[in-house]
Amino acid sequence: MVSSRGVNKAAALCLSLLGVALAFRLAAVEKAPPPLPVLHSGSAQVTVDGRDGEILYAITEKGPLFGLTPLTVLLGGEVASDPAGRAFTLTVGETELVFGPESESVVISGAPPEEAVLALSQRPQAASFGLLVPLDLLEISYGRVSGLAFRWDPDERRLAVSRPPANEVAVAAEVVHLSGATTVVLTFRDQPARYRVVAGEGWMDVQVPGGSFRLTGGEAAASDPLARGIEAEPGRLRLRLAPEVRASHYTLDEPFRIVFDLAATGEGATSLGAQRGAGGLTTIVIDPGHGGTETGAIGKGGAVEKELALALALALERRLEAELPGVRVVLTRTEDLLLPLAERAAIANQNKADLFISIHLNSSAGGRPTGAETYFLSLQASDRLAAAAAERENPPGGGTDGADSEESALALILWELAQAEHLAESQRFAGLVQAELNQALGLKDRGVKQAPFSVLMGAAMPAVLVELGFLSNPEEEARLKEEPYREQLVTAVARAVARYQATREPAPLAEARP
Amino acid sequence: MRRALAGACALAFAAVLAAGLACGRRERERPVPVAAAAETPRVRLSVELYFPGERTFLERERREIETTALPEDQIAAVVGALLAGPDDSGLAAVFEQPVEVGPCYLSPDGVAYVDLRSADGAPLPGLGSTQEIQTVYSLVNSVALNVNDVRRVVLLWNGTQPATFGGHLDTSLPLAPLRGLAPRG
Repeated sequence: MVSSRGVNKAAALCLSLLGVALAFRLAAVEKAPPPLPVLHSGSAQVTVDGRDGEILYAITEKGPLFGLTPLTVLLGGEVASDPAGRAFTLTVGETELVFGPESESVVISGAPPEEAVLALSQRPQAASFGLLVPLDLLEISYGRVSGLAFRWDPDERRLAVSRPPANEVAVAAEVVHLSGATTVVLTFRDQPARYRVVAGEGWMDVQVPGGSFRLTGGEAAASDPLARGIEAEPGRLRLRLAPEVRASHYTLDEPFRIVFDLAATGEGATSLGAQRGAGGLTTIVIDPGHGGTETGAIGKGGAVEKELALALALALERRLEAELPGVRVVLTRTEDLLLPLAERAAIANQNKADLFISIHLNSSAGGRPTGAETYFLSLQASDRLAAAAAERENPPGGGTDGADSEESALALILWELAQAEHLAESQRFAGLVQAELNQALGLKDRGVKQAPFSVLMGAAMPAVLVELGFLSNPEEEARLKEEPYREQLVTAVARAVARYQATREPAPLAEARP
Repeated sequence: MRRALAGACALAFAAVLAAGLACGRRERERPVPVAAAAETPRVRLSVELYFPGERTFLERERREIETTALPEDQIAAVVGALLAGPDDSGLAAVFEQPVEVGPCYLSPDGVAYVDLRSADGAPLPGLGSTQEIQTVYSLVNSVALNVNDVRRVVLLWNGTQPATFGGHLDTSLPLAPLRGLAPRG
């Protein structure tokens, strides 16, 4: 017996598939018209729950378009595309939306037939850093699924995203196993007003009275040596543990997270770390900052940034090679020499690195700040570079210096774009590094930040610059001079790399050709 | 890229040379050209200087400065006031060591060239990234956000344009102010 609900679902699915086929087939046959001219573009602020981020945007005669990938980082969801870049799938919760730069419609899986194919105000546009989508696509996707409301202020160049009050508790789970221990991170979209963590025989519960959990991720828990899975039920989220496993937990803020550390209490625990391979990471480039005549920061107690950065980078290399067998680790320098900033990223590009980590120690001109902070590239740099490149191409007062100027301009833009394509992943990895440093060392959380650091611009892979402490603070300088303390820092960064590789999407397979 | 850098440096050298020739007499009479020639009408400017802060990268401090209507003099006056240090003890000096402002120049396309002169030609100090951001953008923001017609700023150190001041920021290009570093007013 087939229920009417089942018929509706089947009809919706058929219509969806038909819609996808129609939308993209028609586009292929009729050859899509060129994209609308971009009247203006740049970086805009996006505000989600009072927190600011940056996204790229473009304005056409039909309104604004926004970079989709950074928004999925802020709002959740995943984007995938076909190899040709014509059909994109945005997954928000259980809902899939299919759209592309050749169609003014979006197809929604699981929607009623009359709502399965909806018109957009304009076609999305492909850019080198990802897809730009119109505002109504965001309203259709995140608005319908997550109840988010969007408001674009063209004068302020600000996209405000607000969430309605709801009883639904959206949680993203992440599971990492390393060195015989497992870490489970539950990231909450919103911190519950009331919650508690309850331990039982073989399980740990997160209980939210009256809450309805919507869980994404965490599938790896089912096959983890120390866990048996994560289950969402009304009012509680249960982490099931393997026999003879103990769990402890702690919380992190911004975003609110509950982190469970699992460890085996019986024999054989230490060998469990070798069960997981290196995942999608093949090469990591570590860049010890400064060198040669460029000392970097110098503490009052005599600590020199270039020396400590090299010591930390060498220790991190050893740790990663031991913990992630099969991963190649390359250092931009292994001795006291000065490398131009551009050459550091070039080394990473030449080695086809999957991850670039620049190691630094900090100093400040004001006060006595302490703590670690992790940077990824600021888009403000792209505005600056693009403007500077344009000025060189067309200098005021007449004339250009021809091919040289064009080459310079092109090189600058390409460099900047090299990292722009990876900003979302850079931000995600920066968050993991910062969380591990905060937790492992109890350091003051200075947060994930953005800056136009030159060493990050040319990296064609996720790239961060980690500041592991302030040499301008005498107490922190003294700690940084001690090897055991530096080992703790290295452990924290290595754990972040392991968590990143465990949750990193594998590189797409080459398309099979007949 | 190297050619691009070389081009920028050449432009900077040309600018410094032009500024040096233009201001040569004043340079000999007054090594720090914070004031204008006697015949140029004097003006009083109300400016906001950007100093390294304790809780934020940069904090503003209002100041009245006397200068002339010439943009080069205004640039030099702003930088001179900045290098003289903050009034508020909670703010920090831009440089820990003595640094003076040398010749300044404003190109027709709004790029200000500011030459910073260290005592005895000392090299750039070692800077962590936070301190480099504070140092570079205290100068860039103070000049670009206070002197009309300045859109970007090139910083020179003892007459040459460094590729980077502290090993983090690219200073081989004219820099626009970073408003996000300033506290919300």
